Amino acid sequence: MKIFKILSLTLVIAFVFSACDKVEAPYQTGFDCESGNQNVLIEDYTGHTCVNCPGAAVTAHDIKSNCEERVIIIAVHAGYFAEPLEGTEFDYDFRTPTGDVWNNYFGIISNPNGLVNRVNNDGNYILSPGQWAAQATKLLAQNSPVNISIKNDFNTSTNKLSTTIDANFVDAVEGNYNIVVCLTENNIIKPQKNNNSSIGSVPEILEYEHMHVLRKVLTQQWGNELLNGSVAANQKISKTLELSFDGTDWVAENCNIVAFITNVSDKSVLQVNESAVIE
Amino acid sequence: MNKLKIVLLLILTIIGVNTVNAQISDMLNRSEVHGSFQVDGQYYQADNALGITDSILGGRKMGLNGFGKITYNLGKFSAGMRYEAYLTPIAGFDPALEGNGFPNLWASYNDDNFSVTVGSFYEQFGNGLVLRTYEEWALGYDNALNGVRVTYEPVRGLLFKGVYGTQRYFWDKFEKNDRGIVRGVDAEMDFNTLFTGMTNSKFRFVLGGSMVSKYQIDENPIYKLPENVASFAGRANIGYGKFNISTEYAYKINDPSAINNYIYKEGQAFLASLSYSTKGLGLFAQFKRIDNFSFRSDRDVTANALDISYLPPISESHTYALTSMYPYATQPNGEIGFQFQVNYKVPKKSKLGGKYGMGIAINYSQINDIVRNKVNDTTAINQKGTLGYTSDFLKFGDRIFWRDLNISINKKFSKKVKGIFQYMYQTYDIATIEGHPGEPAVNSHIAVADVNYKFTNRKSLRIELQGLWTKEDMGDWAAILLEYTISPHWFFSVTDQYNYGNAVKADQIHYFSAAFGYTHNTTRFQFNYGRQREGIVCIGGVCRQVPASSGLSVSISTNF
Repeated sequence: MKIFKILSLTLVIAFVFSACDKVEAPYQTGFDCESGNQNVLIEDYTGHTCVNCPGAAVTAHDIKSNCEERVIIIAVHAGYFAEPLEGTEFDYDFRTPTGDVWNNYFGIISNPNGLVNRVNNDGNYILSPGQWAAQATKLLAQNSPVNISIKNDFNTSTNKLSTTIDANFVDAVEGNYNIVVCLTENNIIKPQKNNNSSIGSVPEILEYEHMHVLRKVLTQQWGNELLNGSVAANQKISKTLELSFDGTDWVAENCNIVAFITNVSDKSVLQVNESAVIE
Repeated sequence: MNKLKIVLLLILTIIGVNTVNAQISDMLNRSEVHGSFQVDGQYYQADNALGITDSILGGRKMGLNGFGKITYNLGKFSAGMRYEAYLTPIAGFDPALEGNGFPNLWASYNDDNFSVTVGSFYEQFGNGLVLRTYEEWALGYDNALNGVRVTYEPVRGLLFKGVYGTQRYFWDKFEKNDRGIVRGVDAEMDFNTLFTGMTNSKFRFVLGGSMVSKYQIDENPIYKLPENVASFAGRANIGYGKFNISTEYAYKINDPSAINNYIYKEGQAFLASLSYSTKGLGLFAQFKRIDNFSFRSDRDVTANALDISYLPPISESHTYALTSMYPYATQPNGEIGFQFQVNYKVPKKSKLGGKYGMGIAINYSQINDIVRNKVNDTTAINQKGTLGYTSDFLKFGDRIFWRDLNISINKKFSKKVKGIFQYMYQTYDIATIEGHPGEPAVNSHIAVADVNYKFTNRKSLRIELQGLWTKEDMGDWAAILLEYTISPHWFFSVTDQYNYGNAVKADQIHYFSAAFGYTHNTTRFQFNYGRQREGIVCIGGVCRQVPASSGLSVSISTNF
């Protein structure tokens, strides 16, 4: 009888535990892109010989496709898997000096990994691709005291870009903030290693379309000073920067300017925006 | 009157103190304290031949891994703690281990048929397919559960277990929603113990069943993720005389994760073993199939951590430097394979066995990919956010992950000389196992001669000669080891592994090292100076990569 009781109890416990969630299709749900004005910057630290990186790029793209202009991606090619391999198809060097500095500072030792608005979670900035969406959705619902607008003027005859960044403060802000301005490029067709057959050929996609590739940081690597003190609500601070495309293989039609404001002390992103070099 | 009171008080105090003293004395007499300590240190130096420069070391001259474990027992009560320090972790260990502190603390009460543990504990249900928590120092791996564990044996032969807790994740203390919560129950019936009529039966029968569920909140705004993922397993162990059959099947509901590319397919794992043993002969066969069975308490983690399930390897674990150069790592997303082993002892005084007899062991194992078919015409195989694929249960995929045929002969030639001789042919899918897409599978022939010469009862010399021949990866290798032992305290050894067949001339490197060690009772000191080649260390199918390094390493361990 005692055994019977115990068996019954076990079955009950098992039954409680068996509240397992069988999910039926469709498996996808949607983002709330309407609340808040905080845009999200996903920095995807990647490399062309990293086999898991195409999967991470798809993850970033999935997030962006839900809230389009409110999610901005920078693919930072840095570290071991970004090294060019001379004498192979992987001899192109996507790396940038600033990308290397960021990679080292944030302690990225394996790819793919990334940062979302450079939020520091208990001493750790790094999030695996599976964690990006959850972080992004939290941030998208928040309000930022500032909006960024970008005006680009690309002169095709001189091959020069002039970009003006306006930081429009909707609330008063006090503190020390920098602005970082980057050039990114889409549609670069170069090889990429891959282990996900649902994305493309395995082990390599020879004509992989690299998107959001960090090409140049127009400011200093941690940004130029935007505010050191306080600014009242409804005030604007503007910065204009210039960049020559001479001597590069950058295709202006495929390029974007990404501007983001960071808190100097903890590097967190206060606001971010993106605009095509040529509309 | 007051004097009388004082005297009485003094008498009572003395009696009280004596009673307390007696209790303390009794408690101390019944107490037992056990402990073990280990410190592994490594001093790195630049080595241009290995591509290790001062700038790569970046000032990181030393690594240290250490632990101390203390257990206290008092009758039915026991408690313990484990201190660990990784300052900084030795090269090849996960950098997330950096830190020091007490990751594991526990207390336990064990009655005759009941036990309860709170704090950190290790547990395994059956073969571990749905739950195994363990600590493996050589891998820097620890997935201990922190919570409550209860066992109850109402009658001999019937055992129930229940666990509830969260798993260790390096040094991160559990906080709300930062990883899953694990709950599990297990029941096992040993019929030969439970039923007195079967106590002396040749027929042996053990039946078990488990259920483990993890709870992790869904914070993913793109996908609908299951917050409760359950897995179930049933197992049986049947023996008759010299035969034994052991089998376990496990099933897991949809569990999209970073490991399986967020597909919603169910998971399955199946393991079966058959053995026969008689004097001088042992036969062993094993079959395993894994299909989408990575089960972790955090769906987004890809590091070597937070595994709830353990998928036992079915390939032989090799120990020599070159036979273990390409070890197999279990593929949780899918593998199917088998293993056969024959152990035969050629009798003494036979023609082949000679005066002392001879041991022969033949082992063959092969592991392939499983077959994957599209779920429909518009969905790519393993596409994120879909059912992923379908798979026929018993079909072997074309891709061979691993194949190993090895023959080992163990022979004593005289009172002074004995040896082990081994030949192995191995196929290793480096593209899958090490994540080097495009690289061809490594097919290698490996031979080992391990001869031991005893000068006296206390002094002996062991010589290992090894060769690995392959056209792939780094090409051919040769290795030699000389080890002189003065029992029971000292050993001295020199070794060299030479990659003479490397297609890149500059990489034809000698990996010299010299070591000595001293053992006194349970305390052991070991010093090693030289080069360590890049490689992989696997234990139980779980692996970590070890980068090349050069320098001095020290290991000190003791227990009491």
